[in-house]
Amino acid sequence: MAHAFPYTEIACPCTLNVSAADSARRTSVSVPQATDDDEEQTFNPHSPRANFSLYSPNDLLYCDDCHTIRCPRCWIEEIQVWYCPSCLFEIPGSAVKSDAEPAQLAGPFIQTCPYCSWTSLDAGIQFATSNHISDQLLKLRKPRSQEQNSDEAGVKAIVQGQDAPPILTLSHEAHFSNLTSFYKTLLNDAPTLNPYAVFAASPGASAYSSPSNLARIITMYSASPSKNPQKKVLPLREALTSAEGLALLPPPASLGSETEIIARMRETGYFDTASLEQQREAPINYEKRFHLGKDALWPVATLLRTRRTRRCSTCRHILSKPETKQGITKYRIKLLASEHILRFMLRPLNLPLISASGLLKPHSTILYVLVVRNPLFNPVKVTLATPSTTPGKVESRVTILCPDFTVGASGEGVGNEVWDDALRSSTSSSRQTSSALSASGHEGRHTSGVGFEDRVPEAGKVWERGRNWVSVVLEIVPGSLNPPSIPLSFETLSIRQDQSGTANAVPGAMREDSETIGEDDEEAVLKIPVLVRMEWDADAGAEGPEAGHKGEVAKEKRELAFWSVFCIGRIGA
Amino acid sequence: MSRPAPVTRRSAKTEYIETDTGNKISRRARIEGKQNIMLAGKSVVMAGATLRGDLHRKSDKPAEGEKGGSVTAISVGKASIISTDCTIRPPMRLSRGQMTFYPMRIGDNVFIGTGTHVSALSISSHVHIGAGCVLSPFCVIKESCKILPGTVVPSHMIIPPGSIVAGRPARVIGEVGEGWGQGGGGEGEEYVEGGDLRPLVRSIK
Repeated sequence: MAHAFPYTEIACPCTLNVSAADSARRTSVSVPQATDDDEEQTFNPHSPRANFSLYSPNDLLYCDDCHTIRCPRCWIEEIQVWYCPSCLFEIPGSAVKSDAEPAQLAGPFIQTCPYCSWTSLDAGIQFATSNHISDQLLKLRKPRSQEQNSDEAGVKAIVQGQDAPPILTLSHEAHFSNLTSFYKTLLNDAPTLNPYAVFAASPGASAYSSPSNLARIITMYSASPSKNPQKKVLPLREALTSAEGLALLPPPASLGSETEIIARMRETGYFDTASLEQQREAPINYEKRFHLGKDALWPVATLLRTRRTRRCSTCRHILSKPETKQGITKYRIKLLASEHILRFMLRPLNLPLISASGLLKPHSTILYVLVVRNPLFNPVKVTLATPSTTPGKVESRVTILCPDFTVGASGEGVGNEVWDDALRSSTSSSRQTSSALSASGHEGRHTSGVGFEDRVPEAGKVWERGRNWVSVVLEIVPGSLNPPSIPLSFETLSIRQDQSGTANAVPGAMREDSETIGEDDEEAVLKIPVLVRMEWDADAGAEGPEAGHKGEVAKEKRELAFWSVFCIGRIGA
Repeated sequence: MSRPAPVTRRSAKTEYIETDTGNKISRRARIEGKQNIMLAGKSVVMAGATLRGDLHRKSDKPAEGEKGGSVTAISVGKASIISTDCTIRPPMRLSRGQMTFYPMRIGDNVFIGTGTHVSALSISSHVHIGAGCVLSPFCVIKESCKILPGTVVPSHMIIPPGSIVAGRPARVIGEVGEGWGQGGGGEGEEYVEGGDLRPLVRSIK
């Protein structure tokens, strides 16, 4: 989803713990081996892998047992409640898999749509009872697909062109079973390849249920790791033939030639053809072209929605648990990351500096105020670190004027802060009064720009300070989309191919990929990676059982570091 | 006697009229049948918004005296914001041979974006509706939903709680997480979609 600039994102630390060797092994062999250790490297928000590790702070949870951030990749979900998306009725777990109700009414039943007046009779479907619809559909489907396959002798070969290999058309079920068996053999043959084999198993099954998993775990923990140098490590591959479950798109028309389809369309009219959206709704309908007749769309069961409990994948601690009562959307347990880690907010120091088009001007310094808010009940020592030039193709210079500071503890309520600020300001100088006022609301913020026009941001000093928040100034010089380098010609293009390895070493000269970056390019967005380190003394008393009988509250030093990305805006050409 | 006369709100021609319960209604809003519209308090109706309170259910027993005109056509909860150029129009349908209007309910902390047409049966609390949407008659939007700009919700569609909805016609494309509407509301902080809209209401002058 598109965000309004500026916004911040957080990289879950779990993605950085994957070692380079692991990542190379999991992807295909063609990917060159990463030479640097991931943890030593600056986080590059423009790298393709960053897409999978950056989350909005509100989407992250926090495990207060492991004391770290948890993202969708490092939590496990357990379905608590199933419910229908249209009537919102909850369906008990036992009934989800098998509808156990006895039939009340006798007689044939059909499905009708009151909106488009389609009935299941159009596809030749009639039900004996009013429930077990999915089961009945499955039973009706089986003879049909068999009949279809026997008609076409199981497989049908269509020769495309002269030299093209024949494309085999199988029924959807046959494709699925082929692909399933292919993946099963792949996982069984190479158990050591997949570090996530445990997760691939069904959530209910134990990690030790499969013999291959067990063997893998034993080798992992055995005292003398018997390395087998002869054993060749093969990467996981995908299905290559139809027998392995490969399905080619676009699928060959089941009806036969295009002229037949056109003739039929002329007969039935445009409104009896299935839209692309309807065809893509379920794999069963991929090849269906019409609403009526033998090749009509097949009814697909509505997918139920779920409410899920989320657990930390390492310690099984519950991160969020929805209320079980029907109709209540609240959560019983909810450990939000935004309530356990620092919250960031960016705003330009001087509003008029942003041009009307909303694009940032290259090579002109802009100042942003970064407000760091502490949601914890203890003061936090914060260290911010950022590379002086942003990674990626567009190199912008960034300076955090005050990277080390301490943010005060958060109070019980928001209301208290108003009084604290008011009391503090009445005793201190008038300058601080205005700063407290300027921070106390939207209307104040606009005036703050006017009031502080004469104030110059200083290095090593925080800009403004509240009870549980601190604001510091960021100095940003956006880089140019097209740096003044050697003009691109055919000669340089040919050189580039030869020197691709060394091109980066020459500063200001040609880059690895010096093609023009447009304003709409992803690289044109100014993203600043910042390593945030927070240190604080937490009350350990609430968690340790032995801390209970001590009189004083035991303090525990904690620290948490994570990469955060500040997305400032698009750079103009 | 020496004190200057208190400046009345009326004399200062501000953009918004503020009611006793803190509702802010733009002078440029078009409101029909205001006796049939209930605003719970701290809600905002911006300029150019049209509220059709006159489209209410006609009572079966007319001319009863004091009962006339007390039917609620539109009820809006607390701290909800109806942006500029919105149309709020209660849904209607044929019932027992007569065209009947149905009362519309909008919950608390609902944000309705600019230029959106609303004919929904009900919108629950903490819903964020983007700009330029169409909520067709009798659709029901449950709690904590986010409707992206330009969505057309078909009539009679029920949107389950916590959904992200987009498209023409609307489809549920995702779920809002646990963090929906969290944060914000603090001092100097921006308002959060789906969160407490009171600071935003306060900032509207």
